[in-house]
Amino acid sequence: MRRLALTLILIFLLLSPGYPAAAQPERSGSPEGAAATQERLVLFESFMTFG
Amino acid sequence: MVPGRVIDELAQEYAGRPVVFIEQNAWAPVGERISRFWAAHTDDNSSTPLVIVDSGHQCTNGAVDYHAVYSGMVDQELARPPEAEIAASYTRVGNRIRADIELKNLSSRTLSIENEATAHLIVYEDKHVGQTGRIVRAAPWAEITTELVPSATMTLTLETPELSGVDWSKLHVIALADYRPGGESGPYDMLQAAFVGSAVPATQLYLPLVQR
Repeated sequence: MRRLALTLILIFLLLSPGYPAAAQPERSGSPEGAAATQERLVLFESFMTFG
Repeated sequence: MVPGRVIDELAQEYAGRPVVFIEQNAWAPVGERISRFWAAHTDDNSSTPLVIVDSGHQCTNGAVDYHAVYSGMVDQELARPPEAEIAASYTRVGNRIRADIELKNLSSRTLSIENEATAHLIVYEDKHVGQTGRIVRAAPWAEITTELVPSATMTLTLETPELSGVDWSKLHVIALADYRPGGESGPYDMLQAAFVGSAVPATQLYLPLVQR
């Protein structure tokens, strides 16, 4: 039973579309990872007075 | 309208496009980011908000037509191609974030300490602390001391200090590289930035299921 469960989990991992992606370094894009092309990620930084 | 509210509106307007709007306390900045404003700022006077886009390739400060000026700066930067390729991943080590960064120089210049080439890691949180909804929590950096010739690739690791009082589910990590085209003076320019994803393999995410 345990071997069957492990086999099913292994098959699930191999077929899961997120499996290879999760182990890959993420490239530029939105926080949601929508963009994968090498376009410029623009960084707007503001330094404010907190108060 | 106050600048923080305009910046939050711009963050909504540019949602889905490759733009990040982040904020720091001008009087308690972290990392080597505010130095990019002072390198780019040529006037004797300045007032908050101090603003830089792409490490000071463009900068402004004080009261301006916030929406028009800020969006104009962003639009100009969006039109520029990146000059580096960054691939990175991070792991959480206790209450720190450690990122392994692979940087490829796509520019025609050699990056080195001579032009103050630097890699930065910026960790920000989706939280309204100052005037906008995205506050920088840490920004470790390292100068690129080994010459990186055009088309060459290097790897480096950056790690934050202990991050306390943060909601880890709302943190985002960015890696970027910048340099100073003028050498020892003048503004910096950002080569490229990239969001950094967690390096936790999917197998680790599913292991608890196996162990039951």
